[in-house]
Amino acid sequence: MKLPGVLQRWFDRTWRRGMVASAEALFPEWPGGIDFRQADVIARTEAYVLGLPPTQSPLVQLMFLALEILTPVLSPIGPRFSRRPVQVRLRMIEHWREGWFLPTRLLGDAVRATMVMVYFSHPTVMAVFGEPVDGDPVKADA
Amino acid sequence: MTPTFDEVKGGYALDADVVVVGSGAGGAVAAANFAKAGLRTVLIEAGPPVTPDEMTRDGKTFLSKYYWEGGLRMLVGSGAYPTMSGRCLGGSTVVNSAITFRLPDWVRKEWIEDSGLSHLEGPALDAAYDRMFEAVSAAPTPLDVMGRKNEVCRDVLDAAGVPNKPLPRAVKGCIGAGDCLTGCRQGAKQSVDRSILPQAAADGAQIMPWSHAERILFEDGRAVGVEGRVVRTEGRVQTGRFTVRAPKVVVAAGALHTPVLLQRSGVTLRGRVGGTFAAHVAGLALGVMPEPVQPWRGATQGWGGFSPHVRGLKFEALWGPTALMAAEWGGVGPSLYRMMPDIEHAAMVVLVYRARTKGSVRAKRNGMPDPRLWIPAPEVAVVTREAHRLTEAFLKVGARYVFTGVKGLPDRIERIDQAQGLLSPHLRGRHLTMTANHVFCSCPMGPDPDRSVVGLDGRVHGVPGVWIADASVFPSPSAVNPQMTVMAMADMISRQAADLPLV
Ligand SMILES: Cc1cc2nc3c(=O)[nH]c(=O)nc-3n(C[C@H](O)[C@H](O)[C@H](O)COP(=O)(O)OP(=O)(O)OC[C@H]3O[C@@H](n4cnc5c(N)ncnc54)[C@H](O)[C@@H]3O)c2cc1C
Ligand code: SF4
Repeated sequence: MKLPGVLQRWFDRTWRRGMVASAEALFPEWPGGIDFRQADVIARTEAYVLGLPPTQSPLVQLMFLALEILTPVLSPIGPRFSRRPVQVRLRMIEHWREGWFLPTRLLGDAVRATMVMVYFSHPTVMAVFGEPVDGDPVKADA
Repeated sequence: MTPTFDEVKGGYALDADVVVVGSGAGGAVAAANFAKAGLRTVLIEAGPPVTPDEMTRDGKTFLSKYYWEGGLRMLVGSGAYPTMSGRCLGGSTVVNSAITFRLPDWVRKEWIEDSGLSHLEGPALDAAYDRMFEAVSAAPTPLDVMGRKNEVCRDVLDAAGVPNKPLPRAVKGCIGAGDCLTGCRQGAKQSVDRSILPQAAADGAQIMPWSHAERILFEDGRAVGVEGRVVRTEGRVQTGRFTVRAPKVVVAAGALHTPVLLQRSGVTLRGRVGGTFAAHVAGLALGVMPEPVQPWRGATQGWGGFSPHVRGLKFEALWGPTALMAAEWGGVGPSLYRMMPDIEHAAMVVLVYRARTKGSVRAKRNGMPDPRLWIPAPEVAVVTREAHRLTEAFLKVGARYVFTGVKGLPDRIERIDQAQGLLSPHLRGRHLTMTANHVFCSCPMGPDPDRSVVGLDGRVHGVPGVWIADASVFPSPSAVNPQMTVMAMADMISRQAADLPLV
């Protein structure tokens, strides 16, 4: 998908904003937790999204874009997603995922699933629960 | 044997006696039979070949490269459910858990009596199964590669009153690395690229990966070949075009892509191509045990059993890379951090159910399938009731809490009264968390040209020169893991087309 110059720049900027804002909200600084910076979530999500097949990559970008610009409609009283405080963003995604309204629930689930997949494949995160990474020997009942 | 990308990237034009589209469970078997019969055979595959050293446990990277649509394809209808299929040489058999079953007798009877597949009554199907089971070295999962997660499944099924045992799988020297969903870095899984295609190549089949078929070519109403584009894996960029001219075209692109290829070639049979479609419906219970389970250890799906309560419903242990398994489980932010130590203690049992669903597959404008699936409320109730049974059993064997993925239920069920919602009559398909990986029935087989797409010999009704040999031809869901039935049906179809004996 290629848009005219200005529009493409706006599109790229906006989906990235939505993505960064989700990373900050889903993996915030917290005592004992590995946050989005330590798990390098932003750069790794961007690499993941851009590396997806061309049928899929724009859809995932659209998902973050929708999160960013539709938030004032989906969750009124307040600015765009990235301009809301981290705590508010976190509660919003939680609320959507638990809610009955299918579009916001799907959006909340999809954003979380994408970012959790990136987060849980970082070696530092995997080390917390001891899952092996590529190259580690694995044996069922060693 | 298999060309390199550099050798195919500029495109090619080949002549053959038969061209097979798709190298998965069905296509590999068909190509091997044609080659064995001495026919000049070309097997084209949209995806790349993948060797164990190219595989990675990093789920997102593997999915992006070797699954269709990066593993993000959705079945939309009653809800939105991920549906995955392999896009590589060997198709979905490369990424599956290698569980091997024959069609249960009662489904076979139904296919014969209700769907008119009278040819499945005799010894031919059994002979085909025998050949296929031998080819993939199917055997029960040995106890020493189970790992704790499969033992927990055993205990849970015992507590639920479900007879259970080690699952038979197509593996040779499996060490229980638990990586099946991202291939098999040990080279143990007997996916068809390892078990069937080497012999096909030795018998002269030409295997052409990176080749996405776009259209079947027709002259005077007869198929004369296929054409398509050569596609680089990274970025899916077209680098060339290909044509394979052959009087026999065998489509085995899987239940989602086969109807799309036919539709895009103008073969619709008045809406019957892709007008039906089915998938097994699934549910899950994930228990957090007091002891460490390390669910990534042990055969991916080594233990299971059939429900004595619901016909067509089975239970299986399951775990893959946590990055893929935790897509739904756990909250966000601090609640996710608090859940993380529990991952080491997690064990999951999934249920797979032959529900009566409705579905269809249509081609999107970009050439990808648009699959739809509707699950009626009474069938949803079966799934959630059985999830309740699993939850109760998990709690009985000591789970600290259970997660079912059913929307509206607590994320942590610590007492069975908290699972009451699973028995609610108000649950619908949109409340289920499931992945639908057993897909079929988009071009069903049958004797009546007005009610089916292919005849009992696999030929597309009224379209000379075109056969289908994959999961599309199932007249209804198999009730068990479908790979071996796909292989056996493809074996019968291609043997008939190649004049090889069936028994
Ligand atoms: C994650 C997962 C786990 C599973 N676990 C099990 C299990 O344990 N046991 C079991 O029995 N079944 C399992 N299954 C299901 C089983 O793998 C499939 O039912 C079976 O492989 C279907 O065979 P098929 O030939 O119809 O399609 P596939 O095996 O999917 O093969 C189709 C092939 O066609 C290619 N193709 C598609 N379109 C085109 C085109 N236009 N041009 C060229 N090539 C094309 C695809 O890339 C693919 O290689 C699982 C499936 C998945 C995804
Ligand atoms: S469990 Fe591991 S070793 Fe066994 S087949 Fe699967 S990936 Fe290969």
